[in-house]
Amino acid sequence: MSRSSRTFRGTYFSCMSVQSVSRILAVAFCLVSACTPQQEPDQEPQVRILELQVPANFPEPEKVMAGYPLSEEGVELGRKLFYDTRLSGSNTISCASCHQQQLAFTDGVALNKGAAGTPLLRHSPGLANLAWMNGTFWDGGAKNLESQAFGPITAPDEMNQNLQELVSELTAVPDYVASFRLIFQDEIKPAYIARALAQFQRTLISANSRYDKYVRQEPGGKMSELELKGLTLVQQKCGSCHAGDLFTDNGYHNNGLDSDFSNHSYEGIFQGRYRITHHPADVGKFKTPTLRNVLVTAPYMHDGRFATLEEVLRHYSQGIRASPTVAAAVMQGAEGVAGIPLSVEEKQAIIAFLETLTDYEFIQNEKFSSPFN
Amino acid sequence: MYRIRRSGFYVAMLAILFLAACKEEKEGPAATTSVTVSFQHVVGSEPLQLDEVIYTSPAGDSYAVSNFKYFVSNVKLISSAGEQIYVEPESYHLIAQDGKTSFELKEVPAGTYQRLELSLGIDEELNHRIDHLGDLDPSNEMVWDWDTGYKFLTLVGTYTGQTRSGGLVFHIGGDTNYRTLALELPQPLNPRQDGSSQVLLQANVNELFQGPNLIDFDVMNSSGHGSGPSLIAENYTSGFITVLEAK
Ligand code: HEC
Ligand code: HEC
Repeated sequence: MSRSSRTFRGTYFSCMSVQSVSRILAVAFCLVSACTPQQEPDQEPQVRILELQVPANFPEPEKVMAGYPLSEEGVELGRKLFYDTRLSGSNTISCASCHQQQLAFTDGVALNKGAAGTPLLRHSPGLANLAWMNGTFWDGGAKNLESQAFGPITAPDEMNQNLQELVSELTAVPDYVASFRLIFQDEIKPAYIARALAQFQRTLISANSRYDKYVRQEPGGKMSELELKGLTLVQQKCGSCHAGDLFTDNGYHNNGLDSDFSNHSYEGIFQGRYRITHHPADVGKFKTPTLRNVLVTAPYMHDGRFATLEEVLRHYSQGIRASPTVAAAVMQGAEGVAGIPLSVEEKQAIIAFLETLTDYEFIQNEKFSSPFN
Repeated sequence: MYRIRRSGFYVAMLAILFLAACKEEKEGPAATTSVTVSFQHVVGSEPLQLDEVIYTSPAGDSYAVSNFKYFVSNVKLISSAGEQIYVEPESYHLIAQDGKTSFELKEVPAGTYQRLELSLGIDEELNHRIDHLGDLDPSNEMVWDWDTGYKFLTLVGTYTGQTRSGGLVFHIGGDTNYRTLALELPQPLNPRQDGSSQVLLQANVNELFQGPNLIDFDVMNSSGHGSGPSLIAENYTSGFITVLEAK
């Protein structure tokens, strides 16, 4: 809107300066074009619109808001911002400090430390296939990626940055000013920072593991008998939550980690989805993480309590804690006994299968790595 | 020379025609003007002053206010018979005791208006994302980033109650607390062509704490995220904002 009015005014002023008769023709054209101020002048550089490539074995991604097109330039700007320590108050922390590509964008520790030097209250999840997610954070509290980014940037224990200060720091970099102008036709504003980060993160698609090549019948898609047995077990015993080829239903479940959720400190951060919905049925429910790349995303769960996959499987087979909201799917024992019964061989098969979900192309893709190296 | 001037004349005529065509498209038949809507903040019968003054709440607690802000949105003017409605486009205003306390309704058609409608908070469509601009810019610190949405109203301060004392932190938000108020004007408003017409509103902080729900700070000194906010929202639906004058 502001752009079209600026264009209109510009045209008007150039009309006023016309003097010679031979330029009157130009006046007429000026005025004609003034009638349609919406039209973009030809010389203004355009961004190159990008379509997300949906993998053949994936469902359709969540709809991106109308008016939020992905572009090559927007994604590239988002990537720069993701790796830029200017986003933190101390200029020492970037998004990548807690979301490292070689670890499928998690950080390898249970509870990382940010700007405050104190452990965070939740574990950093990996970032993959976010375009299929309709709520982010372990409780889905952020309704979309554009709104999510303000969380880590401003949180005192994460990046502790003041948004206006961030805008002025970025505005001091001519390259950034030019990029924002090109992509958003405006000066740098917090909303555009978040939108650019979101554009980059939507392109973080992990769909080239050995398993993917197997289901798409592509070269390199060989799976052993043990791995295939593991696949069947995961589909049968875990597939109601770690569903489909995303290996998550992006839903919220209580998978029996705890039975006491009475601690309501930090505005309910330990109570899971209940913190957002205030429905008693959501107490202790957390978002199902994907099983993709799980071999490189240890430790596990919303607080990083399990260091290994063996511990995770021991939890599901022997460690389930019952509570009013615990999922029926983790109470698969005879007569509703807690746990998912798994033999030693079955556990081995599951872990063998989970290894086939590591997407080396994803964790090595240069398009996702730091542009500053 | 003559020939050139002549053709120049025709081109100029053509240009004027185009310009006229433009004009017709741009402006509707009715003349429009602007109306200023402004807010005065009081506590009971005293003017609100940040930090300086100790006020008495309806429940009898003493309190001081250090920060008071709220969103006024989707403003409309409605004519006597209800047949004419002016709807402000992109109508989102952050009103703050230490910031903006008025805004201008632009291109209001001539007419006789009897009612002002406004909403407290942000409608669902915009409240489900916080990457907005202007008064909605997240740097205005009226957002929740861990539970996406806007704080519709913020009141921060300190209090001394009958049994306790401490901080006051009321952050009211959430779709269910978005409320629309219909305010009758004391006399019909015929916006003047020179744009000097005004609607003067008053927001009374004490009304947040009574009618229908009496808020005792000893019992509730912060809104939290559960049912607390809706107690205050019920209160801001009745008596919080009143019209002082429409002239
Ligand atoms: C200090 C560590 C840290 C930094 C820095 C950080 N994050 Fe995170 N990130 C986390 C943690 C912890 C969570 C989980 C928070 C929660 O669920 O409440 C998270 C969650 C997320 C999620 C949600 C993923 C999901 O599956 O729901 C996204 C997206 C994300 N971060 C992106 C970013 C971006 C973009 C930045 C930079 C602007 C960033 N993070 C900076 C630690 C960090
Ligand atoms: C009832 C739904 C449900 C079922 C069934 C289920 N999970 Fe989970 N899984 C979850 C949820 C929810 C989480 C995250 C819980 C949390 O952190 O609070 C999770 C977490 C995990 C994690 C940690 C991932 C990470 O990045 O932290 C692994 C690994 C895992 N599950 C594997 C399995 C396996 C293997 C099975 C089958 C034997 C299984 N799950 C069955 C819902 C389920």
